[in-house]
Amino acid sequence: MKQKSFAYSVLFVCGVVLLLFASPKNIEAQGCNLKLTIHISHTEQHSAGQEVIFALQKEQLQITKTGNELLLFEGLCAGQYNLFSKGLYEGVVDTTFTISGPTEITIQVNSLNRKLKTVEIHDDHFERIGNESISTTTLRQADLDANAGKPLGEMLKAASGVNSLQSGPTISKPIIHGLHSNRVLIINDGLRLESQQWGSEHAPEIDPFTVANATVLKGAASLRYGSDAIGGVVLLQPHEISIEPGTELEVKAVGINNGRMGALSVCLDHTFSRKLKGLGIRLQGTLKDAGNLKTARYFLQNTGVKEKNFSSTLYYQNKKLIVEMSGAVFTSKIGIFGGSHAGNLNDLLAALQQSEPVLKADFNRKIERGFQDILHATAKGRICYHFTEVSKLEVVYGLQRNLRKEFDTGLPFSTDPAILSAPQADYRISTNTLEALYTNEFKNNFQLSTGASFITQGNVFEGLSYRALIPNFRNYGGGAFMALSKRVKKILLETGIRYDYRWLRTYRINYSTLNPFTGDRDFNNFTYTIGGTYRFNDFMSLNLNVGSAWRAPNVNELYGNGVHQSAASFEIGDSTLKSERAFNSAVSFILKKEKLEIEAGIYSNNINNFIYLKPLLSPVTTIAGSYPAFAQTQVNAIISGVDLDLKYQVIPKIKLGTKISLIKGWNSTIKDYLIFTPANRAEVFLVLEGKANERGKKPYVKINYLMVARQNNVPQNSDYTSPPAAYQLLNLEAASSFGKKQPIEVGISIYNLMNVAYRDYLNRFRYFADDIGRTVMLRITIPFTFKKLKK
Amino acid sequence: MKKHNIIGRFASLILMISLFATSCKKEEQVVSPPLPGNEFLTTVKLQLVNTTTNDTVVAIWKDLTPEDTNPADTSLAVLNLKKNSTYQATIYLLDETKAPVEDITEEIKERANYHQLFYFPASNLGGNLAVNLTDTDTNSPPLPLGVTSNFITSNVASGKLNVVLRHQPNVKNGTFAPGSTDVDVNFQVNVID
Repeated sequence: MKQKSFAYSVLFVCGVVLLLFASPKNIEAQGCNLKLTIHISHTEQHSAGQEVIFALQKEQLQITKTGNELLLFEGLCAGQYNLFSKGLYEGVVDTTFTISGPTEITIQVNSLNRKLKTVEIHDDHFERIGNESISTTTLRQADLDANAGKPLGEMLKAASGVNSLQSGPTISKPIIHGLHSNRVLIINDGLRLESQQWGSEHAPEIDPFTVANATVLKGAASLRYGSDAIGGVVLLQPHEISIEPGTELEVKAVGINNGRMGALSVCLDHTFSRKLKGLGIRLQGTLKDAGNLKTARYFLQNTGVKEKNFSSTLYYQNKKLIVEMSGAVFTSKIGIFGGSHAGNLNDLLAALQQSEPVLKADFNRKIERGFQDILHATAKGRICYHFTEVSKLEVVYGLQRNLRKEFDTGLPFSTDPAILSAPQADYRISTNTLEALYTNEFKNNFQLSTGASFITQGNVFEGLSYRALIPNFRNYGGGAFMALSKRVKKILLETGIRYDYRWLRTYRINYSTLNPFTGDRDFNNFTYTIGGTYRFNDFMSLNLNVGSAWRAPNVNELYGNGVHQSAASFEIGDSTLKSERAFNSAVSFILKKEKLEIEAGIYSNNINNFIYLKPLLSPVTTIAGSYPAFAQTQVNAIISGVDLDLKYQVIPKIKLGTKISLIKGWNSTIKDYLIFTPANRAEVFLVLEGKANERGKKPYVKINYLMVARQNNVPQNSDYTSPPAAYQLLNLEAASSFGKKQPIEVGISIYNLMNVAYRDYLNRFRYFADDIGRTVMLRITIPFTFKKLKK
Repeated sequence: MKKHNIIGRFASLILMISLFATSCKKEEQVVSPPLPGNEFLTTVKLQLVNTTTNDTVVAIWKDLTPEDTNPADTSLAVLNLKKNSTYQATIYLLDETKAPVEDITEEIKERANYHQLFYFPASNLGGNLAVNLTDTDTNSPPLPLGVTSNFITSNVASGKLNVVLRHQPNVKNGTFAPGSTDVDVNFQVNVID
């Protein structure tokens, strides 16, 4: 039966730009170090020995690879290739496409007897030149889907070495190797997210439903993306608009019992044909509504979330040119758990005495006072022009406007209705960015990537507080970089340098005289990196990367003064702070075989002039009582650790795996630990995989056991209470796809299956309440395809 | 041809966006001073009237630079009370950053169901000062508010009196625990002959 119909075909080829390492295997040509990874999803289980053979041909050169699920073509030159299948799928695939960068494609083979003639794959979003030796983890759609409905920061925790800094269950931001906020850049669809990232309770303003692919660069990866990324970079990509004419509609519905959350996300793509060939349009929107969340024992008052997001993209592509225009609006209203409002230190200490919050609640969808109201609007234009197969110029312009209103629990004291309905803090920040990037490949295996970027940003703070929490400011910044890579046999060497300049003017007033005054600061410095990859063979490589990056102090660190309500602390800025300078070194080992996958990394990040909040001896007394005071101070810090990812196929259909992250943060100036360093964690998982269905998707069940240790390495006198106990969580997830003509994908995930009451060290609300209890998520994805496929 | 058309449109869009972006560039240069309608707690004033002699005692705790590290002015935050006496006390919460001074106590009274004042004599006063709240809110049954109270002294003693305004929206139940603190200040109390 299986043999009968060899009229399989490629239904769907998606070019996803990703690579873990690029290296040579058959170095027959010069200047050729690209890699093509092909994942094959089979329709039906085929018997052993019937391996798939794919041949990749360019002019006279033909490379043949045999494999079952994963085929790697390496040492490829950029250019146009013909890819065709032999053996089991003889005659099924015969397609021509262009490779201009490291490329990963998924081929789903089904028996619908359709054939795809030509596919062009461009790698335009993601330049790895100069960054190839940095340790990287990529989360794909399936990883993200299993965590659908969670905040973005929680979804990214699936990558080893990534934690999250939480302010309650709904506000989460990623931590990479112990660093977060302004030390981690988030690049969403090619644009650097610019909002009030300095705040630990300011989550990234991104609709997680638009993300198809999340790549985390772990280590100082500033070269390509601008200064500040001394902790790492999170690259988020939507799935590409198909270049085949037709319409695709994807409806994704998510329901979660905890918080009775409902989310619906719809994405409509249309690619035009004939005269408008190459033109595509996307309309996408998400609605999300959740009420009070429940811990293992009680509800958390006022923890609902409402989100409304919309985005649209116009995309044009021909052989040499890509033009893209997009706009997105993200809005969210997030309730802040009422029990987390500490009026002063005594309130906080009283909350710590309670085993559960004094403030009792039931389920409620309504968000009361004590909430954030956020709007983030983005407009982007991108042009990419390919001069030749190996050289291209890309220009990206972005405009972002971020409006953040924070309403406190208490109404202000006033009789004026305008004041009563006003937020306590109102931040408005507008950012313009312009970036140009040029890449080329020369003889002698040289690859070049160079670029320049400009940014200007204006921030306005208004609010009911007496003093501005952060001042109004305008900044201008510019930077330029160049990265080179060269391949010598099994070794890839890369190096790069970047220069950035930043100018900052703050606008403040003297609160006694109300006279305005300004203050200027400027910062400039170099970022550099050198790295190498040694490739033992097709599936094993060793990477070494040494880099240095810097970060200018942020405006809140320079000038922020005031009470941090949820932390009941008084934070004092220092306008004389210098830039931070990080020296990062990392070694990683990667092995990718069908049955065994290993990613192991060890790193050390030495940061000079590391800015942190130093506890002061005497508290600050205000009319609302006393607060422990913390001053922004610079020290030298070392963050080092080990990450391990391992996956092993024990017997067919059963995989065992583990993920381990060990980390230590050390303040070498005062010879003590760094506060808020993530605790060591390990997880083990077991995956049962079934037979692939019509669309090549395998049903699976995954059982995951997560162990988070207690953080014992904490500095003295920096926290109000000792870190919470270690905890273990059991999580379960399963997904399958049904339907032949019209597929329906169903996924279910159960988080904290045993309903354990726990608190996490990196959740700032751990002072006040437990983390969330058992959470069952059901996800249904229905992709509709309206396409005329050529027979 | 199509291509040029698209590029042209794209360029003009970029131009429009840039113009829009530059036109509102000066916004940050205007720093808004504290909003006139908003009131800040700067001052806690206790006014006590001796029920027998009609003598008036006033104590003032003030911090005219709210949200700031400057220390408060506590030079007048002292109550000298006669022993074995009863005083009718009224608390005033003021915003002295305004001229004329704003009395926030009125708003506390308006939102009586969301607030309660607590008076905690320190242990070294040895029970020689008792404070009984004499006003209530409109809850049913009514709960104490604490803007007015009776201060009852017995023997000679000295110590601190801690005055706390709790903000308890929708959770007020007559106890201290729910809600959060808006005011937390200390007065020196001397019960004298």
